[in-house]
Amino acid sequence: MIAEDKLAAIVSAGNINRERATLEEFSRDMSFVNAVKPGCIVKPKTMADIEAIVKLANETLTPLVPVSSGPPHFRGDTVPGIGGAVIVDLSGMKKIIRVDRTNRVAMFEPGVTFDELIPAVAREGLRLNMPLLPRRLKSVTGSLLEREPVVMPKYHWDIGDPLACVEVIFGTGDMFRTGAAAGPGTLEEQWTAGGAQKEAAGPSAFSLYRIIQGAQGTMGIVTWASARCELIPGLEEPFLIGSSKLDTILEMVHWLIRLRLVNECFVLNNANLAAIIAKRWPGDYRELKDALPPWILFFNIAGYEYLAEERVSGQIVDMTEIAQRVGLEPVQAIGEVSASELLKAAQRPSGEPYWKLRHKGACHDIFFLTIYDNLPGLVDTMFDEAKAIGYPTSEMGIYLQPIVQGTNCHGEFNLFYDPGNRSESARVKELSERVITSLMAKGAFFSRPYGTSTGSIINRDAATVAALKKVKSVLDPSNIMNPGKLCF
Amino acid sequence: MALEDYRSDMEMCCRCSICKFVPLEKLKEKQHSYVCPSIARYNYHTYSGGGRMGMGIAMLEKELEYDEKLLEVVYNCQMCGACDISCKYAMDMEVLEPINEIRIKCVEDGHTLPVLDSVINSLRTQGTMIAGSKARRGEWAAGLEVKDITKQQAKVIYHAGCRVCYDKDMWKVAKDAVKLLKVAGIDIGIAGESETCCGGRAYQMGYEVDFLNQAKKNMEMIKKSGAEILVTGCADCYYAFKVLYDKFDLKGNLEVLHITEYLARLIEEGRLKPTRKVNVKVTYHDPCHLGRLGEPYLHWEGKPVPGHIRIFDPPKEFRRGTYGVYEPPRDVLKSIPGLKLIEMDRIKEYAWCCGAGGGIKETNPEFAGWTARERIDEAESTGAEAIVTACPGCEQNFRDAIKENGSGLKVYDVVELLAKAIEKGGH
Repeated sequence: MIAEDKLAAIVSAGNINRERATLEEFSRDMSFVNAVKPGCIVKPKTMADIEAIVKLANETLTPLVPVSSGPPHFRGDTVPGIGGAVIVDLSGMKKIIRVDRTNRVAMFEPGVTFDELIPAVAREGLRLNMPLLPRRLKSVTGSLLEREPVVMPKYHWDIGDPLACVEVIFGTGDMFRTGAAAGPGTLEEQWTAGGAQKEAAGPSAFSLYRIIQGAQGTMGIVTWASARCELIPGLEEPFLIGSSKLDTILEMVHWLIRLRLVNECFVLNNANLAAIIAKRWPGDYRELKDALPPWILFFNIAGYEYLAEERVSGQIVDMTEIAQRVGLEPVQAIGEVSASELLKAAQRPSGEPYWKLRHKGACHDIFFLTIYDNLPGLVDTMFDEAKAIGYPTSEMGIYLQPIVQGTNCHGEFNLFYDPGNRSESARVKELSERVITSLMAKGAFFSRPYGTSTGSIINRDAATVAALKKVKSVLDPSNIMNPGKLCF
Repeated sequence: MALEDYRSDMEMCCRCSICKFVPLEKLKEKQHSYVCPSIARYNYHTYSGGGRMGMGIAMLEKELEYDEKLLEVVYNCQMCGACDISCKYAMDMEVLEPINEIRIKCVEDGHTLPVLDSVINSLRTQGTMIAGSKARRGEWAAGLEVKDITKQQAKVIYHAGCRVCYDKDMWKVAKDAVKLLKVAGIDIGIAGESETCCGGRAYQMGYEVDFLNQAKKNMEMIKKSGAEILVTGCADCYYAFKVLYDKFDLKGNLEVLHITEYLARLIEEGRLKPTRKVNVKVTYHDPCHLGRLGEPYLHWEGKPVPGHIRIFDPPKEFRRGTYGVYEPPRDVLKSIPGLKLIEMDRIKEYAWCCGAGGGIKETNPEFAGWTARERIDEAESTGAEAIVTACPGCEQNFRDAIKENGSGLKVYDVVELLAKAIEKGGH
């Protein structure tokens, strides 16, 4: 346990919090992981503060749990695995270090939220490749490190995109910069020489960002990240396509991305689209949901600085031809839902309350990667398991996000439930644990295992676990970084 | 149109060979990757859609002489259109149309197969493609008490088709179809002894003039009857009446429905209520002429825009199989209590042909049987007890193949199963 005076020497006493209510708040989240109370919450302001905290934790073998987003948390990764841990709350590190229009890249500290970064990059004519309506206090760095899927597969070249470089303090206390930021020279020297910290790979063949992404803070603490940005279009024409046939919708998605016609592109079921769009609850939600087709494809055609109108009108012709070929009809509105309204929503974080909480107050997500062909079967499997356990399938949200140029797809089931209803919560918990094995058998790859299901996912691959432990022993030999998570 | 009119289509072929297979994006199982029976059986490029494109150009350039081998390649094709639809997954070019034009050119130039000539002779003299048949055409409807549209007015005409009329094993399907329509209260009539061949297969065999003669005769009789809707249980006839007659501007306002489309409509409207359990596990075979080739004909008149890229003014829409009849037969099957439908790997646009089409049953029965066996194996691999289809040609070919090679698989028509599920009185 770290003595308070030693911590106070690093961050000052005002940035250490041991209030019972706050500790309670950090001891649990909306997932089903067990509650464990931390020892204290510390709020560093600089990289040097973090470096000193990690060194001190190594001396005292105190667990550190890095947290960069504000509440509510959903995945159990910010709940300590061991009692007495120190929560390293990075939400106060809000500096936007640099926005580089020429190289289309932004660099920022972990406490910066989407609401803060969007206007900063927009001033330079740039925008972020966003996850779908992240919660308002979600840290951009946190989202990037968690590999949350982004809504523009056209600009998603690698599973790690749009994360570029990071500066990280490993569990050893060593500072390291990944990708192009690794050097030579300081950041300032790199900038002077025209460097932009945009290339994620490196240094050399050593792409450490792949170890840090998805590690849930078990390898180190990131002190800044840089992200690829895209140009703000001059003209946008969004469309919706509704259908009861998922395979036909996926066929359309395949062509739209293969021909690089669209920017934002994702598929929602009626429950999720209604949850995003509904304004008055619960009346609007029910009405909208009942009026919508089972599956809705959303996509956006955009033009930029040069010949924007010509580009958009030409691409609309091509898109319409594909739709005719596939047997679908693109429209600008389905019932009360307009494509431009959804586009506006998808380019911002969620309003309050978070869209996944509006229906019933809580939500548990089950997400995985797969290929298009597997999706209809996975949906059937999920529905079968839900029916068997008594969860109403009509209440389930589904979000399908093509990623990496449409080569694969993020599939997500959103189980909305009332946290005050014990039997409903228990059903969702049981379903979320039970269905993982069936989904894996049908081709779901759980690349981001969180919470109580982690063991059943990660232990299927003993060789990877052994390799991860070896890497962990190098980067965090004392196992002070978020112990109890993943396989550590 | 003539073969020359498809020169630029044929020249578009880049030998990618996708015409031989289910497109990669749609492939479910390596074992069932072939979509074209001809290339799968004979394994030489010329037998494929792409190979036939090269052959067509060579014929236009007079670089190929008519000989036995050329005719063997030309007529060893079921005209199932699988190559055309696979090609059009990513390309904008016609494949089946030039293949058909090659046959038409062969007939025009007097190079055909004797067995086909005898089939066409039967068409010319008896009005049917079933050569040497002794049975009377309208005998199948004995005892049905259905209107004769040559004497009485009816809103709907049921066209049974040659294969049904001259194959006693198929009579029950046609009888069931008429009975179901009557149960639903449809004002239906048949042409009985006056019904003649639709001519569709004659066209696909290359006998364009005979097809047109047949089509004109049929439309004259239908117009005279005052019928507004033509319903048929035969996929070949459906394709002829709906697509080919329209292609040659002969269809007019006649609404053409396959029996499964009509039955699905009647079930949805509540006019037919399948209530009896039919406990059977089935897989459904999409007939080529109902599925991928059954989508409406698209009339287009225009010309290619000169330049390196092949584009048209006005833009040309291609028939890609998307709007074929895939769901109605499945909807009918799904409406039957107790019936479980399992899908094969190659379905809908990419369904494997039964093997009977394009004159193959007459010219090369061994190839027709081989193709059917491939499909039966695929159906068996699903664990289904029966293969269900919606075309007498497919049924007959499957039954023949099963009889020859043995298999526990049963063969049904969608109509037969629905009839089992409908109690007397329609519910």
